[in-house]
Amino acid sequence: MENVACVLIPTDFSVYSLRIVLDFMEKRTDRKVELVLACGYDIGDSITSLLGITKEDHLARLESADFIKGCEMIRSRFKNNLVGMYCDLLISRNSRYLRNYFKGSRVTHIVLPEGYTFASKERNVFDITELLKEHVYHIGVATIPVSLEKQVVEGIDSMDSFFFRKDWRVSYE
Amino acid sequence: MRNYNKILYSLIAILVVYTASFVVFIMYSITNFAFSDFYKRLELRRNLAAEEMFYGKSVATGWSLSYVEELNKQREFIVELDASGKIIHSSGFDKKLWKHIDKTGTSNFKIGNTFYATKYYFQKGRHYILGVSAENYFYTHHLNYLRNLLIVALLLGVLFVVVISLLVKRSFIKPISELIGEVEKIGSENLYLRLTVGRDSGVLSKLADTFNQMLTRIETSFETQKNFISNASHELNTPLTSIIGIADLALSKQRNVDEYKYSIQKIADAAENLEKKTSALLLLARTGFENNNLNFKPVRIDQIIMDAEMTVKAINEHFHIKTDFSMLPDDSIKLKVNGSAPLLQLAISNVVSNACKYSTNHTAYVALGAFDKGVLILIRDEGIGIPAEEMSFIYDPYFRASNTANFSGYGIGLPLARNIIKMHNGQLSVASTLGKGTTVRIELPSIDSRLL
Repeated sequence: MENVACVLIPTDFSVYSLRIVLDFMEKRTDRKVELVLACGYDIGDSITSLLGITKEDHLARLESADFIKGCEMIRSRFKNNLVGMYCDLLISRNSRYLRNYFKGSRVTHIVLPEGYTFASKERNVFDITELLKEHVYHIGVATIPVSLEKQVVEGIDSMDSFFFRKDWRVSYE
Repeated sequence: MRNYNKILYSLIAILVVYTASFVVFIMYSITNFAFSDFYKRLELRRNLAAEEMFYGKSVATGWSLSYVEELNKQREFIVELDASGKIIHSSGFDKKLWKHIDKTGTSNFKIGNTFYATKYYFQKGRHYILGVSAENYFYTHHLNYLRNLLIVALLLGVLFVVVISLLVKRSFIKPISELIGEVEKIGSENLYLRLTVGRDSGVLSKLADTFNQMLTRIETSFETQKNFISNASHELNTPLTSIIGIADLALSKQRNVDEYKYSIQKIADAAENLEKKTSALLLLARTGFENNNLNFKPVRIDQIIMDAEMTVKAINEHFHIKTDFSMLPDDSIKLKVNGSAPLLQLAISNVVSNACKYSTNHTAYVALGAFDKGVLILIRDEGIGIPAEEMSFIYDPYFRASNTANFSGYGIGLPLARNIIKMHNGQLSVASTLGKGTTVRIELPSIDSRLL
């Protein structure tokens, strides 16, 4: 486990947000990584939901079939470098919570995406990019900036944004 | 169904008999208890009366008749007998009781609502029979009440059992009848209909699911058979056109040997292409009759995509295909699909050539990726798109969208491709925005690597 970096990448559970993961993974091929795709989530203060609904339930609702397929594709694409990949929810904006979370989850690096607008249709989901930027000194974890290509393919199919990312690899021309 | 009803009614009968016997048992045991309890109380009073009568009040120190609660219509009687058992003298005694009384011991009996407890005494050389009678208030009032209560409860219970059984029967039969109704609606003209699969993973959902899978297979075979002639003409047309074109061109004027060689070579290539297509079509036709999985072998999907692209390029050299293989998995085993290479190639080349045909830049973008249980092929164009209201018809053979008047075609390629993908247990879905472009997504199940 010594040379495995645990990297937290903000996500909004859209296929498009997996481009951050792809850009990050394509730039780093030297070291084995474990990925944590995380986003902020207000679990609310209703006692029934606190008792009865687990993190897995929330995640199951947030992750679309295409998102999961995208994650599986990333896993099979980077099988040699990717040790593991899982999704997580940060349930508070509190700096103390963040520090403890990072201590507990043994995250060593945070990816801070640039040029990505967080867009989730879910009411309870919030963007953690700014939050992480704010508290990064407090947390004491190394950050890796990843700037997305500006060019955005306006997808017709939700998987469009996952492929056809940059300079086309042209074949048989 | 009749058998079902028989079981149900016998079940109801068993439950009713059980309830009734339960009620009878309760009634019997309560009555029994009421009798024996009341006789005990009468005996106590009789003994107290005897003590009082024979020894006087002062002897009974602890107990006295006056301390014991008076029963309803309680009466004592005493009969003096001679040695032969004849009545010498009686007080408060009804002669009608005489035959019920045991003349040498104790006897408990009941006439109407009145209960009697008697005993024979031999006192100071005289024979006595002393008795106490009373009405059992519990028996006359409470037991009647209990009886009525039990009868009502029995009726309600029977009603409840019948209603619940019928409801349960309906809830059992209802989904089956619905299934039957849905299956009856499906005929050769609407094979696209599917049964609704319930959310629960019960037996019926599995049945509906199995039915649906069977319908998919039938529909695919049926459509393939139905459209075979049109498919064949459609597929054979392109190479034939190129053969005729090249031949015409070669014959149009005097050529030198190299030019003729070149033309004949081209014609031979096109004829070879034709032959490949014929064999693919024959395979397609055969799949309707045979178990289509028999001919399937593990094939690499990236190879098939590259071959399909070559085919498309050969048909029209203005077509451009840009392939994104950046998501190819590290492990190439994930790209293996169980299928027939010529058929898959036919399907993919049809979709790709459509993508090229209907876009102004004649460019199709093809991408490939592997997820856990299959491969995903995305074929995208920036072409004219499909009107949203026509999306539901695009898989119908011979259907052409309203904006395709300027493009040649027969409306056969996409249904054919979809049928081929379905044969491979895959899915083909189309997403499109009018004027912006179309994306075709093909998902095929990959071979389970544990089986290799």
